[in-house]
Amino acid sequence: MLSIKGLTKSFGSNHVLRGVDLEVARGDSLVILGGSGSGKSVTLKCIMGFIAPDAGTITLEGDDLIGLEGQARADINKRFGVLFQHAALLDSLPVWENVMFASLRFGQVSRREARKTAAGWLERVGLDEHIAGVLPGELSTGAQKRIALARAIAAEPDVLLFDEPTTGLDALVGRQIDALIRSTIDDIGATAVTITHDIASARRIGDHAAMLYEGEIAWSGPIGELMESGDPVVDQFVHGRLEGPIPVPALPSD
Amino acid sequence: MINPFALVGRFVLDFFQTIGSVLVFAATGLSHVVRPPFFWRNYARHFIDIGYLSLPVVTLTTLFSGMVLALQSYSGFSRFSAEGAVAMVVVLSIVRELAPVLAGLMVAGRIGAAMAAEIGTMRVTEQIDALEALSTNPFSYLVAPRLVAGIFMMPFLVAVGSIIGVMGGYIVGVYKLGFNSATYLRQTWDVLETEDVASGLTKAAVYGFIVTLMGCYHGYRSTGGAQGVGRATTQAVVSSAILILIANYFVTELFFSN
Repeated sequence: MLSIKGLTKSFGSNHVLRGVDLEVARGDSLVILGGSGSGKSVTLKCIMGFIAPDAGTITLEGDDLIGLEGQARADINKRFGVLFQHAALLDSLPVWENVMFASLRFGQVSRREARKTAAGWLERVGLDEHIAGVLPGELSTGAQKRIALARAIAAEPDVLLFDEPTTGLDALVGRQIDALIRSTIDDIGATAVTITHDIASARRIGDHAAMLYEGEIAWSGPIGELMESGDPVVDQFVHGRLEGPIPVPALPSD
Repeated sequence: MINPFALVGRFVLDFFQTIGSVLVFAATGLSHVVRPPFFWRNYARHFIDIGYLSLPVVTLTTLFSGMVLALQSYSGFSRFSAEGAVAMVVVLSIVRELAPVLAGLMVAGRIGAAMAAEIGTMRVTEQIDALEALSTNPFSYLVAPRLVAGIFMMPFLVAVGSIIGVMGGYIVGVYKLGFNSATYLRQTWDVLETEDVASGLTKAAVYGFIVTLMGCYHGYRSTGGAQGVGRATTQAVVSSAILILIANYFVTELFFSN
């Protein structure tokens, strides 16, 4: 179980997280929804250890993730697979080395074996093995996301983290990525946390959803109840209404 | 109203904060030189990039500097009938000063800028975060190989550059100014001492460290997208150039103050 309790983070006078509580059961897929600046990315970065929270705890199967550094952090990170918003593939390495980076890094496979294994992972995310030797920069955004997904799952992690997985993709490719994510979660039985503001994507990926608003969890529940939660903040956000508790900046009048 | 004391105070604090930040960065980078894991492919890549691919620009620079130096010193020394000192002036100037400083500045433009741009791009596109997520310390993967390559390959570049620079002086001295070839070479060889070569190579190692450190430091700390990467690249080159010129004085004093 991934458990977050009382997570607080401020940047100067900007209180981004004001005591976030979340629990994700093993094998469950949680989607964290929220508008821009609601603290979704900060929550994810706290889980990954990129940002140190001001207060609160994050535990994975009872192991505390806060304050870990050096080898201890590296060991914990082996249990995570991350799909970054813009894929974040290492652009100096060919596709196959990106996919097999963790296995090569820890000497689990030879380079020859890694290249063969990478073909299998690429096939799994719907890519042909002939792109294995290509540099990521030569591929489309959709292909880069798939490769990043292959990299995230290649180390067979306990927890998958997805940062805005459909950002920058057209509706069709976004839908394919969602389907891949969902099938991957089911296949490897990993716990998954996705942050997104894309409601359709959230409904395809998640088992549960949580709405982050003004640094706190405004609502959480099964994904099936998301569209009719009865919570005014969630209702306004998921239905895209301009009227409601979430302030919408006024457009300049003509 | 602007308080001048506050401005000075802020400048001084920022200055010392930057020095502290660079020193911590350098110490962390160097500590990963001796701590596993070692990414040998990255080491090889940067050894080739700095040591081999920078050869044309460094040799071309030192060749023409040696040629110009021979012409200028001949023209100046002939005013007081000291033309015979051309070979000595050329070899000492090239080996002690020109080859290390010119190579340092050229490598700062070629390598320092590229390092800042590459690492800066990796920073703003979350590739450095991805490395950490893949349980890989960015200092081991990105910084240590570059620092080591800079420290070891700059002396190689300067050694080759010095030979080529002296050759440039020889070509002008013998084929244009009419010096006897054997005499020119003997004068060159006789005046050169171990200390001259050692100072040149020490300077080269120091400049290699400065250039790679500044490239890594500014790239690693870049923020704000393409504009931030551009700013980091400029800062890497400018700070490398300034530090090379400052370090030049101190290394020279270390070797030749007596």
